Amino acid sequence: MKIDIHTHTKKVKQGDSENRNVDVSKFTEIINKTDVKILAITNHNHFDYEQYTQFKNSVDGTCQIWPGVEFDVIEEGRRAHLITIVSPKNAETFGKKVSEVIGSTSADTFTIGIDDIVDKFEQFDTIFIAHYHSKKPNLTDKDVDKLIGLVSNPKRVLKEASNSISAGIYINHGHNSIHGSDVQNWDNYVSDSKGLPELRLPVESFEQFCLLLDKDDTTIKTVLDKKEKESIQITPFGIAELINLDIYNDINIFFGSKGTGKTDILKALSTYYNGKGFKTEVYESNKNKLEDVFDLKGNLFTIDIEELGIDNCSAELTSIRNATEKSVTSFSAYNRYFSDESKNKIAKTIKVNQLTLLDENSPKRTFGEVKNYLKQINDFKTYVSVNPKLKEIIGVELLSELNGVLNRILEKINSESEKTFIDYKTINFYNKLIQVFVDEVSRKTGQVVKPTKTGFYEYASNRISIEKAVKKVQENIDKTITPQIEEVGDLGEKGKLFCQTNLIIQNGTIAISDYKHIQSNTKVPQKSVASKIETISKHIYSNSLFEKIDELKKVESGETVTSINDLLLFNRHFTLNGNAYTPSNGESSMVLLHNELKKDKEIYLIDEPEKSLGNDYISEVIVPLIKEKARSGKRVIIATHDANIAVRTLPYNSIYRLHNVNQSCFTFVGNPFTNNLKCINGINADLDWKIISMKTLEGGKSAFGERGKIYGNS
Amino acid sequence: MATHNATIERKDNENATLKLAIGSEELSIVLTEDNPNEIKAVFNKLLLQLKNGEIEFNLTDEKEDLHFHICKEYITQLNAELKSTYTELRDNGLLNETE
Repeated sequence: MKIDIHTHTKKVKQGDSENRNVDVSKFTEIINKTDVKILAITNHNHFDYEQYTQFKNSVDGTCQIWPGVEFDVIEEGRRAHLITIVSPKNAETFGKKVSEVIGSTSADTFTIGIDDIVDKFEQFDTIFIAHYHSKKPNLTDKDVDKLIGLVSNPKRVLKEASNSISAGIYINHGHNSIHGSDVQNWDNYVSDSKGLPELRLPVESFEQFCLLLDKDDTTIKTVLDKKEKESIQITPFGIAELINLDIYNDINIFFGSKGTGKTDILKALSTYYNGKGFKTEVYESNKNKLEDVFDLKGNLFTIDIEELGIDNCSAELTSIRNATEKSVTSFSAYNRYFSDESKNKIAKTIKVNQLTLLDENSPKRTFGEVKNYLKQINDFKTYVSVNPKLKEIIGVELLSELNGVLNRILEKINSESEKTFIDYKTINFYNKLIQVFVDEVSRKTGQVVKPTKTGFYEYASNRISIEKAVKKVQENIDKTITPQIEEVGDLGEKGKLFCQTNLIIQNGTIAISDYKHIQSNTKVPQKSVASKIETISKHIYSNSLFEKIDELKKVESGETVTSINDLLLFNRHFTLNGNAYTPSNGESSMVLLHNELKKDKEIYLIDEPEKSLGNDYISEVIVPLIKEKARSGKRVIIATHDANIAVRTLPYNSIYRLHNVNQSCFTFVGNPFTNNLKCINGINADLDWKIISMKTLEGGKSAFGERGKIYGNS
Repeated sequence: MATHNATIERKDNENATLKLAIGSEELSIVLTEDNPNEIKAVFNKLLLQLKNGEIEFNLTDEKEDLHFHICKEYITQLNAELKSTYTELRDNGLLNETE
């Protein structure tokens, strides 16, 4: 909420810029684009009541428009400008008076004395704002003193500075000061308005503004009371010291010398709020290190490799380790059989045992596949039928259509399943028959058993299984994992800081010391295991395959690698502009505090946020963030020694902890608007908020120099 | 499917070898000795050959002696098992891509 006490809507004098002319529609459009909620129209020696009314009505509900005139004043031959702003309730009579006083004199030549201005216009409930010092043409201190002497309420006299910095300096020196846009070109107003003074308290009317100028306690209390607050009783120092506090849904500042228990109070507040069901904790600057918060060492880092689209291959690793060689049929078996010519007559007549076994493995596999399809479709059908929400979404009609299609599919698969089952069983029975005959003929006749297979298929099938397993393990080991990148925070001009986690899988050749294993910190043999798997892959079709598998089994502690998850290596580091970066302590503090304030919480409890931070960062980043939280009704409770925070945020609630010479501590509460601090148990006299702030806080004096940007105190 | 030649080499009455010719390579299995490792080495080569395409062997021999009968039966069984293995390699996607 911004205030502009000095604007021009017309080129009145010859020296005025044409760009000061603005019509009602342009004015409305511009004001709606700004945060200006109070604007005084102060043309040179001129007041156009009709235009004022139009402008006022056009932004009614968005921005208050106050009537005024910037008069040319002549005092002891010196020329100066004095702005006179009156209550909108008196706009019409004020307009008539202006016309009467100026008469037919042109705005270019009209001048008036200080005495006359007060005499003619104070009756309209007026605020006088004098061009001062570098704001030319200015009234001298003597002129201002004269003005103050003439008016009935000296607090209605303000000094207009040329900019916020000058205003701050004047305030620091005890002057009531403010500045306005003195608009030269309405086309630039939206951006220029960003530098206007900010109203910390919501001012609802001209009259309320005047009461705030008077530092009227009731008015300030009324305004503050509109803000939601909670009365809290805490005992951070034991039952003997009860502390009753109002905590506003705004900025609440604890300040005071070191050792006055501010942190303890924050912790007690945290306990209180947690007891009420909020989730709060005190953010203590420098307590946590950025590298620990982001767990660079990976102490808490866990990951399931399957979530990254990588099979953990635990079954395959087990099957490789458990693989054994298959025997082949020796030629001596054939030799024995054919040497022992069958003499038994019956045996000679039996031919079944002479038949060759057929391949039953292919039909067995086919049958297995079809059986699996059948199961999958049946499972899907069950899933659809038992899920009421899904039924509701897809509707009865579509569901029935789907069931019809699924039933047709199942029927087809069933019929195929029967066929493949018959194919498989036919061959299976055929082979069994041959084997039975071979065995029985041998048993009954004493004839040597005829070998029914060379053993090639079993031998080959075993190697195929091993190859399949090794291939799958290797394919998954070779997969590239996209680095996980998390934003850490903003380092301002340097850029954004990220935390990057690189993940690679040990393939038997990786020896980068920066990478660590996720699963274990002990020296486990991941590299050897991966290397042995690579070796096995090169010996699948050699006689030495099982020697290589034995080598895998003999790797010391190799059994700890049970899946590819165990082969995962990680390296976590910070990056800035794509390069590895180690943030300084200050940068770490910046980022941690910024992140704390970026969290969406109801209550922020922050202890000494200024630690390790530069003034610029506090002023430009942290203070605006704190204000933003306050605007959105959050409870921001800060213990600080820093005036940038304690003063420039203009807290609704300043809580001061005083440590007196008797080592007793007292709590005072107050705010910048009343400018006083009251002892909560009434033992001590009231204190001056500004004096205490300047004395107690680091950078107190300069902080007051900046307060001209914000209306609210003197 | 490629058909390769299988022959029996007889050195004397005692020693005979089954020769499996695959292109320029010749795989040998001594019929008169029990040497499983020798058979496995041949099987490994057959497996690698199967990855390039289906194969079978045709035994050519002029003598109808014991070795012939043994080899005839052996080749018959081996051909059936080569066929099954080829199917398994194919079903598991382990055939060489050039095939």
